[in-house]
Amino acid sequence: MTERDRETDVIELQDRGRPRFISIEELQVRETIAVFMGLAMLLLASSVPLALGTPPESPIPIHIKAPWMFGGIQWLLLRFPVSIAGWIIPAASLGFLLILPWWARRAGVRWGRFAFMVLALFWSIITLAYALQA
Amino acid sequence: MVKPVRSFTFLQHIRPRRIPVAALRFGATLCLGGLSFLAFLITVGTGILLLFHYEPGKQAYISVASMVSLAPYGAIIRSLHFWAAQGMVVTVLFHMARVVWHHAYRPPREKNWVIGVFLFLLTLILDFSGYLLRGDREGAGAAEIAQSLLRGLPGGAGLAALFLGSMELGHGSSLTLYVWHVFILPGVLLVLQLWHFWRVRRDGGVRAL
Repeated sequence: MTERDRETDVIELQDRGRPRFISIEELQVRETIAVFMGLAMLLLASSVPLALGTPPESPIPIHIKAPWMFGGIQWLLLRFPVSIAGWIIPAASLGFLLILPWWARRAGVRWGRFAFMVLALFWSIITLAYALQA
Repeated sequence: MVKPVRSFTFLQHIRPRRIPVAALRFGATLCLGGLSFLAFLITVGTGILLLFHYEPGKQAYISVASMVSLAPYGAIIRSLHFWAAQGMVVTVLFHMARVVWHHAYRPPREKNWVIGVFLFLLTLILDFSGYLLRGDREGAGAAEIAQSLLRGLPGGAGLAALFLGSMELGHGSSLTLYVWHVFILPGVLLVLQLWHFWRVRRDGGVRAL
């Protein structure tokens, strides 16, 4: 059944003199999910106060922390030379993502999925490792 | 033979007349692309409200502090801006994983996958630039790391000045970074998102699993 068929249903109902709206269940599901996500964010925003950082003029020494999604890069920076940790590994990961469709066509989609999952696991583990040590 | 006249199809593809019902099923996409767009819209909406109070430069930290403590609903709006941005990063990541898991990058969708990777990268850069704009010492420290990383590249000093401006530890945020975060990056992100949505339809829509 296509959207066009549904439009036909609406027309038939109107022809019988009983105009009414037909709900599209799938769109209602999406709207409900969107409303719940919006409400969840609002709840999170109002219940978890966002703290201010250290004032710029504060003399207290601070531990410089990367935003969580860059924690993996900072973890690498603490262990490897800057060029490798800051550029080569992130650029290679990004490059792999860019060529993934063409690489998977040659190697097979299962290998594509496997390689992506290894990459995702690698970044997840080092991001988590940084979060735990910080 | 007369070729059929092709009108401008952007709107027709964004709002198509026919969609396979199976493709509308929740399980086909898990709504992750839509949810990341929703998070983007919340971030833009709250970001516009924050613009009324935020001052880039040396006053950045003070303006954020006064926004939180003095402006009506300032703390909630700032918090919502932050959480929506984090939500966007997470949903984009899961969206990419879903696409790979379902092999949804196969022909003819390779180009759209590439657009998606750039959208992911832009989302990360936007989030990072927002972190630096807070004007606190943590943000300034992170800016210093980013500056030294950029300066390690050939011509990197210019690149650092182009993106970060004159950010130094203890000197708030920079006007250059503010312009990138508020105008350029979200603008490019929006254009790429619309192109991404258009290509989803153009490439045959979301396939049922």
